Amino acid sequence: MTENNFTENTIVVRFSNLTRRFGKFTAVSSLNLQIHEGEIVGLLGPNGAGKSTTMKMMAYLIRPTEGDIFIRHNGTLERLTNTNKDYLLDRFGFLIENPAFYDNVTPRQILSYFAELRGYPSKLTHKRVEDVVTMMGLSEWIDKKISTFSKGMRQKIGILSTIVHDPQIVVLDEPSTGLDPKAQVEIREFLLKLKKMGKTIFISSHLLYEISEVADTVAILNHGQLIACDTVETLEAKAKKSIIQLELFPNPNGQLQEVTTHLTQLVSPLTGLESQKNQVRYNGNTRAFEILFDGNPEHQVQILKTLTTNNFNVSDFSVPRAGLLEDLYLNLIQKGENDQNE
Amino acid sequence: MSDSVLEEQRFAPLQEELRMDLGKGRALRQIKKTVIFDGRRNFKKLIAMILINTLFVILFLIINVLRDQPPEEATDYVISYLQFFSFLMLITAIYFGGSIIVEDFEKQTGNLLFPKIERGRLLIGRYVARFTFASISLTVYYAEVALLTYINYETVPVVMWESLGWAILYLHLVLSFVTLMSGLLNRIATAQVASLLFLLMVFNIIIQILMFTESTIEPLFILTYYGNIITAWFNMPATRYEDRNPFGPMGLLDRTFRSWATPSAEGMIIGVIIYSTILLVGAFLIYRRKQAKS
Repeated sequence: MTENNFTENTIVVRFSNLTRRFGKFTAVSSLNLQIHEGEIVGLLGPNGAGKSTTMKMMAYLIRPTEGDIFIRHNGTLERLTNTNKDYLLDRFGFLIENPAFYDNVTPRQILSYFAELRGYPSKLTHKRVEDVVTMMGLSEWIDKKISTFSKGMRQKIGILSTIVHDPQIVVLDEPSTGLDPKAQVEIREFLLKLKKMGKTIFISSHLLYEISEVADTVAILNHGQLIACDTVETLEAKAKKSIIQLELFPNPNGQLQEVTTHLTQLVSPLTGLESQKNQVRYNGNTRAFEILFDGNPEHQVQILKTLTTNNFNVSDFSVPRAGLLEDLYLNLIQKGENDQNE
Repeated sequence: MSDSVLEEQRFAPLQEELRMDLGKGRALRQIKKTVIFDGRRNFKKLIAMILINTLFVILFLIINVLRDQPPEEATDYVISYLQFFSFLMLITAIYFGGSIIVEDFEKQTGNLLFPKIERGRLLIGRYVARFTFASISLTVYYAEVALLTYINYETVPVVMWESLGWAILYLHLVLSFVTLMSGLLNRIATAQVASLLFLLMVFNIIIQILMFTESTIEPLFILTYYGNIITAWFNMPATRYEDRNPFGPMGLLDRTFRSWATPSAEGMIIGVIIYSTILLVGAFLIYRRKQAKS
């Protein structure tokens, strides 16, 4: 489903003025947000922003101090309460914080248990568990003790525990934290697979890259307040700045300063940005040059052409999606910090 | 058929009307599933406990064989196997119940569980599973003793099974106490050690203090007092209490101390129901509060 198809009738979850206080500390403040059917919504924010608290309220693990959560059931949005939580939350799969398992059980045992707790028919559970485990590529491990699993595998079983009872909405709190890059990619691919199957996904993270790679809509939370919420494309347009990641071969280790100056002279007029200061920098972590530009694809092509005609051996020239949002994200978070201090 | 069509068929959404039970039906189903799951998880513990119990039976068998004069009556023979039974019961209850609440916080397994099941249902399911296993292990102990009694005396006293009934009732009380301790403390090992200390020492110290203050109140509020009925039941009506005057009838130290020996059957039943209800409700409230905080 694309942004254009969203209507009032496609809303599956609505947070209305959601607030949670712990004593004098406000963890979530007047959060208004809606999630539409079939979309991936990313909840982004630094540690302590209120993401986990929001998700715990959604899972009815903690009650809101003020405000409500509405969940669609039989065509209408119902307010989540103690009396209707059983059937409303059957449609959800939750992964809140780090999944930890009893060591002496197997994925088959724990996933069957979780499926049946949420009302999945006993007769179909056996097959369902085998299907989801196969989908994640862990079929060989289905009857092995979880104590022998790596952290990445445990995380995958944690994600499977959210979908084993076939929910419509999957809620994942920091699903990639602490995982190696390969496992992070596999989890992202799995999320996109779930989206193709029509699932609605609500994912929180403090990692911009994790969110921007999969989410249709990004909500940015800081100090419990929603400071931005829009589609990735709209936020990109708001950012008006993007980053080209450039790798040269061979890497000019000894002449970084000279190469940076040379690159700046060449590409600055082509970036589409008013200020021509600090538009090229070298990132020691990624061992790549970063060129700031306005995100316009035409300018991107011109920069590449200029580099090749000037005999730069370009081994990688890419625009990471996260790069488009990074500056906006940091600006918004910084603005939030300033407002907080004031 | 293409792979994508096959995958689509395999992951066709569940028709919501197929989803099982809601409301009370769901609660019962969740409890039942928890009993089965927790039972499977603790099955090895059951085997281990049965082995430990059997070792105790063998130990007492050796003692009886080495005796110059074995007991004349079958009942006395059975009692000779129950000398450390109260201690064995405490160990059984602590072994099965020490982790019942605290493990989800210590190992953080609650992160996955709590959105799927309410704490109350989880606690009931686990309690039923562990109480059942603990009862089975104690019943096996009695069954082994019954077998040996039958081999030696060609009879098994019926009163022995009544004693087992009291033992299982007492087990419920001790397991409720251990459940509360499991809720109060933050580590499995701490909960187990603290439970053992309370059951072996603290309650006994309180009984001694009461006795030396010349109190005549029956210590129905002392949990371990109820365990006395298990062996006393073989010689009913048992002495309820004994008044002692260890320092003689004259002088400044002329004091009478009442030592309570056995609760009445009615007192036992009512006491266990009230006591265990308070302990389990307390454990549940602590569980709920602890989870909300975490």
